[in-house]
Amino acid sequence: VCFSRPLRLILLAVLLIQLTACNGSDPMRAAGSTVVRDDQLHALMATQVDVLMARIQTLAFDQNRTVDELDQERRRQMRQLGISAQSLQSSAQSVLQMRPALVMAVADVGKFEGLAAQLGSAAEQLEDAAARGDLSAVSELVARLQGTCAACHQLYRGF
Amino acid sequence: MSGKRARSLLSAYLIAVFLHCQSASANELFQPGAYLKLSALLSDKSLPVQGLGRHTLVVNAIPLHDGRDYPRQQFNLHAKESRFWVRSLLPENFGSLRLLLEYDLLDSADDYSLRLRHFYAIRDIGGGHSLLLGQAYSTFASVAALADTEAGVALGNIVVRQPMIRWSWSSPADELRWVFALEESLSRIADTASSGLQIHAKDVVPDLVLKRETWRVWGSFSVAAMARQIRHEAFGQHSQSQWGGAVSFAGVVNVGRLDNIRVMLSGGNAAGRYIGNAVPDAYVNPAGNLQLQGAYAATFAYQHFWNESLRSTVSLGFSRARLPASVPAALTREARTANINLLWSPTEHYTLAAEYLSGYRSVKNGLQGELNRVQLSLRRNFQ
Repeated sequence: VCFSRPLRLILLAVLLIQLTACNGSDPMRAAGSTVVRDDQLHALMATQVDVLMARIQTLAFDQNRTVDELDQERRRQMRQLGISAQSLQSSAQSVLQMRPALVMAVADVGKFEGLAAQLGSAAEQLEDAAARGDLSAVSELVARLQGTCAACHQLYRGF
Repeated sequence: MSGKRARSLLSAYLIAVFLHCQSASANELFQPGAYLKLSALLSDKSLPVQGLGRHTLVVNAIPLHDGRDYPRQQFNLHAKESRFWVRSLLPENFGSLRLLLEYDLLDSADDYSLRLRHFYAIRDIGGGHSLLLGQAYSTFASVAALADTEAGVALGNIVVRQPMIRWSWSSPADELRWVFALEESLSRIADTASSGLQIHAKDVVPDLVLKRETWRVWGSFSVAAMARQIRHEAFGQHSQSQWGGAVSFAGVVNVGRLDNIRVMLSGGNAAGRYIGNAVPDAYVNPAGNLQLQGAYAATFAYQHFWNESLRSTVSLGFSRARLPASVPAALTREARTANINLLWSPTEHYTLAAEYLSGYRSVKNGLQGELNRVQLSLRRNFQ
């Protein structure tokens, strides 16, 4: 049976949700005790983006391939990074949609929505930059995206 | 002025031009780049005359236990692995044509003359098709799977560079590529008369190579098949030829965040000059007939990143040739190498490296030899 990449990721996320559903201390808890864990999906994608970026950066140390071959490899890695950024965008959208179901102080709602929107915007720009093959823009956007992840997790996940 | 001196001066002049262009960085059509690499090598023993074996790993320069007293603890300092290149940045309206010209300084052991590494043009012709014309890494090689070693090329890695015409087709997602190439044909023949290998460059049929490469999230894999016509022409005799073939499998498997395993396995009855600098393509038997024999080689390397700037590679290499009974006793039958290194790149402009190399070879008459070498190097990238 062949599944498309987004479907595979969703299935993987569902599996992770099942495996981690017993964690009762998470503040991202929906009203009526239903645990909402779509955050695993975007965490997974953010990790993928981080790994691909690190692989692109370490290509600078390669002394076997020519500059031309290294550029080809960078483009290939950036294409994969663009796919991950696209999934991350959809995931940011899902996070925004689930917001009404989350138990959250009124003061936090604005911040939460702002960070989710920042995540979506950074992911969208990252996808564009990866499609253009603009390495310096990609590096900058990955850093911005990591900052958004860290800020949101710090506020709402406690890590 | 001697030829060597003239070549060295020409090299120095071109290096200065490269560096000047680099500092100017205003050229819109061509982008120069370079790295300067200074290497210090300490070998436990060495052959008295060994050419480039002083600077990089040459299997036939590994001294044998043959009763001779070889010089011990040879120290060597050189910058011949430095590289200089220019590539095109042609405007869009010129079409999608890419050019690359790259040199290093490993042409000769005695001076710093330039050696051409790459000189090619690639034209994208639409639909994922592209055409390469010029000198590049052989299509039979998989450059992504080469071990990240400092002391020369890991044994079993294929790094032949030669003139070729290469067509390739990539899938729209760039996860699959088919490549077909016609490459320069040279035959390296061992005969009964001399212990050296004779190169025949008058071969008329190019080496034919077909390769399939795939890329996935877990890494990449390639398989290449090659057909070659090996020719031999002795003085005053009719030329003779035989067709042979070889295959090569290469893969890179990502392990965790940045670690990876790189594997290359190659072999066949015409793999000779592709798999090692000591392996003949064919042999001439006492009756004067050309004879093909099997040869194979393998490399296994694990690269570990201690962090993003500090990395190590452990690499094991092996090659073996099936030698006919009639060939000279001094021909290398088997060779093995082990490399372990630590490379530190605090910025993308500098790399400091330390590597230990252990080499072994045995020749047809059973004599064996080893080489232990420690290499330290400093590399400065200009790009």
